[in-house]
Amino acid sequence: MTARLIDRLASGCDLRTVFQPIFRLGEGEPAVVACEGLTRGGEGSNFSRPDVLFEYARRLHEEHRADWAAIEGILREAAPLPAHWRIHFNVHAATIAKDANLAAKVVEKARHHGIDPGRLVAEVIEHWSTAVKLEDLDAGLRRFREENIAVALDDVGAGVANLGLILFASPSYLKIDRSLVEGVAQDPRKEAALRCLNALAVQLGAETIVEAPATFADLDLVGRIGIRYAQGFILGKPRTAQQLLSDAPFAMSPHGPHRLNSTLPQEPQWSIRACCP
Amino acid sequence: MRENAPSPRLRLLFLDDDPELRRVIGRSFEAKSYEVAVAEELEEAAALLACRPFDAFCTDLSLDRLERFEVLDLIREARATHPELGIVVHTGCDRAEVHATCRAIGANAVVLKRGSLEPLHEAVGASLGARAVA
Repeated sequence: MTARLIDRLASGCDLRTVFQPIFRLGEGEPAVVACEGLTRGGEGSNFSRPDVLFEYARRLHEEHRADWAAIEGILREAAPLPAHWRIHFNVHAATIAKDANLAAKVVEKARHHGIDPGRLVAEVIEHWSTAVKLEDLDAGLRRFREENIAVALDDVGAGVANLGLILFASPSYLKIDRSLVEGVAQDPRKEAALRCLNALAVQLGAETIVEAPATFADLDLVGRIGIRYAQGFILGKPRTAQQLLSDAPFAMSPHGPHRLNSTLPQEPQWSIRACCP
Repeated sequence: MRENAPSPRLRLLFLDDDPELRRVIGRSFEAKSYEVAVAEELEEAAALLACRPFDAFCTDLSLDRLERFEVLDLIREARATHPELGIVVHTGCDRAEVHATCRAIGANAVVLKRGSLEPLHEAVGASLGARAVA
């Protein structure tokens, strides 16, 4: 009998890791300040799409194994990235609630790869799952904070995510779902929602990150709302750590984040200045 | 001169735990211009159906590690969530009551795993209705 796919995935050998940059807006041109580690299955496999990969794991109730394999890969691959970049990784709420040792394991693995755990941001996904006991999730999130790992709520505004969860989780970051961001410059209702969520984040002492602005007009509006962070294809596509390093050699400097047009390749998706006068 | 847009290829998901059948049958449908995804596990097929669009789903009925009812549950779910999906069961079981159950829960056809692949090709094509017309 051959090994189950989940066993092969959990071993990590069939997984690839890429990183998508997260930019700080305002104060001149956008600059890379963080990256999100993203996990894919093997090229050409059904799991090359992450939605299929994690849907498969969820259907087996094995998302904790897929999460851990993904986190291990991200921490291993992130080791050479600039030390001033935060490193975001995804983790299911169910995994946080289920594995009481998760935060400690993440810290140990990060240190093993020479990464300061204070650079890490745990992006909680599927936080609306009714299968998760809130007291277990609360305990797990507390352990992350005790280990100096920041907590982000991912996909805020999607699915059945609710305001109560935002209050409950006390996140350092709210990542606003693409459904509220794409086309915001053309949709006053989306703009209203973004303004409200950002105001809530400010009141709670959290930062807002928008995902997937579709146009530079969207990005411009996001900045005018006062949102300071953005991530999306128009800013930077997911790439391997080596590709990111070769694309942005100046980002290795310890003197903090750099201006976009001096650090990143002259591809259309990076050329903010040309498109946002 | 305006070029005609290429016809979109029909998308087939084929689930079977036998790697040789996945290879042979997958290629046979590709030769008929289908875009084929193959799955070896039930949950893998379920995830694909949840995340990607397909025109047809062809599945074995007896898979490693699983009871038959679990595959039937997937057929039910696929029919409920994708009313337009062509569903064909490809099985070595020749019991009439099993075939009737498959049809009752939403399969368009049941084809026995015997001999030529032509009946399977025809059943998948028929399950697509007008979409199968080139």
